[in-house]
Amino acid sequence: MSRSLRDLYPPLILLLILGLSAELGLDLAGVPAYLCPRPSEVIRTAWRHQEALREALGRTGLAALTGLLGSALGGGLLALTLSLNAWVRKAVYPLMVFFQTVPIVAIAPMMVIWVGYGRPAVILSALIVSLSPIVANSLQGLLSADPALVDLFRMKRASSLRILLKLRIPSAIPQFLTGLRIAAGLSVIGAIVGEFVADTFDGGGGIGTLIESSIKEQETPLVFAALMGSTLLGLTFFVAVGGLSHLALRHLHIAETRSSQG
Amino acid sequence: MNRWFFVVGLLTLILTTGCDSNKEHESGQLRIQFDWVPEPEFGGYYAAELMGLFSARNLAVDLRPGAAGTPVIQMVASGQAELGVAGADDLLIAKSHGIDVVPVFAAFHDCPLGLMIHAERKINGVEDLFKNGTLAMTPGSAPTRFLEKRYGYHGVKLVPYGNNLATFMSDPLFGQQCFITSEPVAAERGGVKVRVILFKDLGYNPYAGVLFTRRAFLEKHPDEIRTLVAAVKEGWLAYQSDPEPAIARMMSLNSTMSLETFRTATQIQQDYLWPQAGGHETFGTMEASRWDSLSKTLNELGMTSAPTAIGSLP
Repeated sequence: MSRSLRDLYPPLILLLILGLSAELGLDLAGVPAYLCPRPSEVIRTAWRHQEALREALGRTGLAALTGLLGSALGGGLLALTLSLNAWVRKAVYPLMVFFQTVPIVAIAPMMVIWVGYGRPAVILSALIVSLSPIVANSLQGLLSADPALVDLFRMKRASSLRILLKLRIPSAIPQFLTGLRIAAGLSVIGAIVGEFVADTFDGGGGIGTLIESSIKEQETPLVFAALMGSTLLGLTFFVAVGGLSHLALRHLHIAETRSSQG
Repeated sequence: MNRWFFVVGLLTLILTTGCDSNKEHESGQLRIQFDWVPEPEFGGYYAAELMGLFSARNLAVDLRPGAAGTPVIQMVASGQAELGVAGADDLLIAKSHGIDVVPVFAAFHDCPLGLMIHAERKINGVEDLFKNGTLAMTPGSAPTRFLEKRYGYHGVKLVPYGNNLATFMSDPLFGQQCFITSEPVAAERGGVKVRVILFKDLGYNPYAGVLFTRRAFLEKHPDEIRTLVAAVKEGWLAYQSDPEPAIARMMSLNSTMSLETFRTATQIQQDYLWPQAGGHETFGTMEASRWDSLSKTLNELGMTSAPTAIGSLP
């Protein structure tokens, strides 16, 4: 049996224990289903509405992925720019921190005014939420290249561009990927918040719209099924980026090599 | 974010509830849970409180303001409050999900909800609203489903309804659902002339601002509920004849709304409170036939699995 499959057992067993405990606990406590549906009811509902859930998750997933790619590209370039000039870094970085602390729910209605209703606003929401961890981590990586190696490059009369391309960027890749891993889950949250405020739903909506309509219809099991679906989507993103990180670094960085050896 | 608040509210409810929907109200207090902040739509309750109409009847009433997404029906059903205020359609949908609620008093005889559009927008008929432009509605709500069934959304861009009027103000082809005393007043105050097409004029007219309780509670405390309803009714009549004291009280609890807006909303809602026939004597009473008709409509819209009877009205 492969190692990755063996790694799945502990969380799955814990999930099973938690699910069974919730099922029994809710029954024993007499919590009515309209307050908190049993996990079995949530799974049955998810199965019954699998098509609607699949379509909604597909739309949300695509928007989150587009936003994540945008923030990976934009965040990476921004971090690169900030790393090149200390003055620019000192000027821009506090604003980045400020930007990160602005709650997305507060600025989401403004996005409608900036880009109108529809998928662009949802993608923008995913991008804004997932940008900061990529910038912060990538910048940290770019600035923390081994000083001894920087000195070595300089002794060899390497240009700043060469130091950047051959030393700083490669050494920043692990931090960039760490940022990307954090941003992956956030991009799904950003997309759902964007859907709450700015999606169009005449042709069906994303998971945010499904959650909202299920609340209005008082379909509590479907609300929980949609929440479960969005959690799975975030988890899928996280695992996918983790896999990408492993593939990219397994021959380059000792941490990944060690982790792959278990 | 109504939806996050709803989910968080529901989870909090699960963690805090005693899980026994039939449990006695421990302190003898009647907690009335509203679905929104203190506004003129609850004026009668605050008037009754101020005038001592509850205490004069030996009732200890606690008026509890709500917020966006407050799960009022679930709170009443789980014993977090003895009574709540919600729309008739939401109560019937709750019934179809096994929550045994019973309405005891309807403040709004006519539904004060509708569609708000720019007054200058040229339309030949209501159906034109669904052919172009943008319409902000709550996804999954009964009015959204009703309009879809009656007119179909052919060409209009459907977007989620929010509390932000900015898009409406700037886009002449933008329409949105509204509460007659709220968004139209705010839009006009912002300088945009509006036209409101009421859902009741389109054939959808559920009672609104319905005071309800859980049936088990009503069966245990019928006299208490009857006395409370009499006090609430008297409070509403007092609010309509002199709203100023209750407005001052509500303003102290909700400072986001101006005095002028409170007064304007109070004036506007009068047309929706009183039944056209019967006058003030029949204020607050409900007709079983209207509940039956609403139940049939909701079933046809797919909001309930079968026509749901609200049960005998007190």
